[in-house]
Amino acid sequence: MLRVDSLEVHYGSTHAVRGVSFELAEAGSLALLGANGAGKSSVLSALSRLVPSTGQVHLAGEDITRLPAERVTRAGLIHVPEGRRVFPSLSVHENLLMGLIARGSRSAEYAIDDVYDLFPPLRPLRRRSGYALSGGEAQMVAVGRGLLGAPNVMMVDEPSLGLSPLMTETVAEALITVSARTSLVVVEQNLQVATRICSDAIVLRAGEVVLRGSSADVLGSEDVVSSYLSA
Amino acid sequence: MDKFIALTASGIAYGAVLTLVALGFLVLYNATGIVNFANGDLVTLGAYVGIWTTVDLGLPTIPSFLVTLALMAVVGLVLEALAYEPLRNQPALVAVMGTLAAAIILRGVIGIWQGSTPRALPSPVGDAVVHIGGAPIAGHRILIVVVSGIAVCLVGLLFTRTSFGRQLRALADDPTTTRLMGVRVRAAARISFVASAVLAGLGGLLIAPIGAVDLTFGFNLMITAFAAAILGGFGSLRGVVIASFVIGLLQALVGGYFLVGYSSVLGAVLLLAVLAVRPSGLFSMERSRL
Amino acid sequence: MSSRIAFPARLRPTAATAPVEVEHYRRRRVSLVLLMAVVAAFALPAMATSRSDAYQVNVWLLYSIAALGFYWMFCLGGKFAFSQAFLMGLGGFVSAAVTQGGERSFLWGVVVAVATTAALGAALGWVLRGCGEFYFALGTFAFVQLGSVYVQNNDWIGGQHGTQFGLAPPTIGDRVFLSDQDVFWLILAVLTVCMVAAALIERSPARRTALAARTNPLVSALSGVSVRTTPIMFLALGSALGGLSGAILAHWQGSVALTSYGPDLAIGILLMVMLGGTGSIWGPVIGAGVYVFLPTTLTGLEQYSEVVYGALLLICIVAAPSGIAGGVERVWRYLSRRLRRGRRSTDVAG
Ligand SMILES: Nc1ncnc2c1ncn2[C@@H]1O[C@H](COP(=O)(O)OP(=O)(O)O)[C@@H](O)[C@H]1O
Ligand SMILES: [Mg+2]
Repeated sequence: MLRVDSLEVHYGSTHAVRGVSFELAEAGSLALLGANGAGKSSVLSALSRLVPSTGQVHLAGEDITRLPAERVTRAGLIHVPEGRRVFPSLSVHENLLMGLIARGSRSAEYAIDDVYDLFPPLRPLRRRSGYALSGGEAQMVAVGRGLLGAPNVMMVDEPSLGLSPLMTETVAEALITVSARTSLVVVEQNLQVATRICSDAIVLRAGEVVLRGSSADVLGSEDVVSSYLSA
Repeated sequence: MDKFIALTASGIAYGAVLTLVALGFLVLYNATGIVNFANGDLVTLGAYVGIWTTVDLGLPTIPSFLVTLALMAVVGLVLEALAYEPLRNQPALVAVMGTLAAAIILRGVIGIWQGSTPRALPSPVGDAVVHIGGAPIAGHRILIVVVSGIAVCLVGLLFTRTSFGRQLRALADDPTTTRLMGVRVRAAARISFVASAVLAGLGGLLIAPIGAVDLTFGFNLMITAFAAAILGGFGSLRGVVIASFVIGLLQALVGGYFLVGYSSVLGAVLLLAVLAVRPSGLFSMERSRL
Repeated sequence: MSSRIAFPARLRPTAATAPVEVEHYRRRRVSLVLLMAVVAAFALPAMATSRSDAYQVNVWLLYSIAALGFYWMFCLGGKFAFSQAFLMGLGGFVSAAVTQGGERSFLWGVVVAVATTAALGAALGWVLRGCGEFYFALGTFAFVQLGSVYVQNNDWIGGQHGTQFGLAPPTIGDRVFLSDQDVFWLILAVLTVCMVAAALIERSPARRTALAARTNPLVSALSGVSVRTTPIMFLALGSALGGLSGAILAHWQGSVALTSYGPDLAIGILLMVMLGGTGSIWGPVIGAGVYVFLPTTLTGLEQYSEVVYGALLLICIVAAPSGIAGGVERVWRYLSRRLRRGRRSTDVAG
């Protein structure tokens, strides 16, 4: 579904992503792991064309490497950014409606009502402004908004960041449900959460892939995990 | 009492036109993050095109308004392509200077086309006078209020009820994330340039019959509209409408009774006062620093 | 917010106003200013053969003074002030009022004009101290509008038509500067003094402070740099140059009219600095020259001058943000690098 070949990202003199390659099957799920500053978010931003990069990106066989950000989104590679980025002056419902823009004429797994079913706590908050949401509520809106764009691949950056354990659980459950039919890339620092959601994982360090395998294998290689993931 | 009613009426009419022009800023600012210094000259252009279509070409009112607004839309597109698009990735102030350059070009072109002698645009309602509470009110002022009222309501609906309006508000909140939603940012910029040019043109058409039209006609209106936009918080529709009427009334009443020589700059005074005391506007929550 | 999504340029927190070129111009010497002044003293009178040439040279030098003031405000202070043209006019009006009746001398008039405009610049900076870039620019627009109406409403200064006639010619002691050629020496001397001051400021900590305060206000504030007073200081200094230039211009011409100092000239001054280059004190001088002499070279296009200026400004902003001085600088650096490399390779060969 998604194929990434030798992705490179530079920020001025910082070489943030160094030759990252991976492939993601249809309905597959991949966890991107790594310490703070390892380049996880930069990979996602490069894929959605928010930052300039070199390398090749194919989505469902189509080369999307040179498309501008809005076309990438419309092609179905949907990025749920770090920090949720809910629009503060739009209501919850309007935020979800924004998600529909990316869909175009592609058929979608989720309609608005399905999102409310997936995240029942959002239903009473339909009219609440984005700036008045708690972290967990905002994350639900962000994920729901992504789903409404009919993702072929959805990339979620740090869904558990700053959430209470209970909220993390809710969001993780939802993502597991989603992963049954939608390809997912999940960036996480929380190993347990990431490996529960995703079947495969790659570990980044200083912009390079240092470990890849099934989630269980990655989680199993204790010493590797502790040395790579502790900051 | 008569004087009071007459002044109030002229204040309301002026406030209505201010609302139109200020809304032009607002739409554009929301979509692009820049303030368009050419807006004042767009107002002037609207007035001159109106004079051209009605006086020189002799078109009836409605067609002449429509032709004017259509031409303004085209000018908005050209402006976007020449003065904004090349500067889109520059710091905001550079883009603003681009609109300033566009303003000079626009004024130069109008000057070449129309010369510097002031001209007049007759009102579509002629010299009709309506009596309210015994005071005679020019029919044109009522026309101004009605037409701008309709335009403001349309813009309000556009903002709150349409997908485009949502995209505008999202762009104002967070342009990067808005692109991640698949919004075509260039298209949004174009549409808002068109909308703001049309609003400016309409403002020009409406206010022109009240005085004479010359090359600096729109510029003064623009400064006052800036005051209204800032006072209203540069983000909220309601804030801008309220601020425009406050300024319009203040200018008419204070200027009519006390500071007679200064009535035309009360907007400027108010603007300075607001900038000194509350640069973020009176009605706004915390917004991005301009 | 710790989120790291790349912001588009217009939202980048460090978005600096004008292109900041820090290091390359630090070594500008006062001696270069003096050298250029001597060159100008010999070359310009020799080149300005006709009366209109002499006139235009004077205008050029006077605009250079005002534009240098704008350079201080804009390029060092980081504030886009629309007020410079108006303050030039005001300088003329104030000096006219002071010297009226012949009791006070030309020098008195100029000093009061400079003090007034400097004070107004500082006051404007203080009133608008909490404003970001846009709002500051807007505030100065409003100030100009207000000031213009004040001038027109008060007979002691401008009066209904916004004009003053019959100003005494510039006089220092017994020396009266009557002809354009006479006045040239006065203006050249004043410009030279201003340029020396500018060169000194370029090398002083004040410039570094200003750039630091602009590019990173928060850090500067934390490290004790006064983020607020630095721009105000540059506004006062820059406005003073506006008043200085306008006062001399008014006495030289013998009259001052508000309409000559409207938005056209205000934008003209911006054009001078953008055209000449925002990274060097020579930018304003070069730009003012182009601004003054361009219309004479484009004969037949006079009526389109506004359009031409506007288009030039746009082209400058879009295509050549570092201006002519920046271009010259780049060529110079390129040549000197070539030269050095050439020398080194011959060293190796030998
Ligand atoms: N917009 C940016 N500008 C400059 N450097 C950046 C930017 N974004 C990220 N970086 C740098 O790139 C590296 C990778 O950052 P990031 O991708 O955010 O890591 P992660 O998401 O794994 O924590 C870090 O060293 C970070 O400082
Ligand atoms: Mg990250």
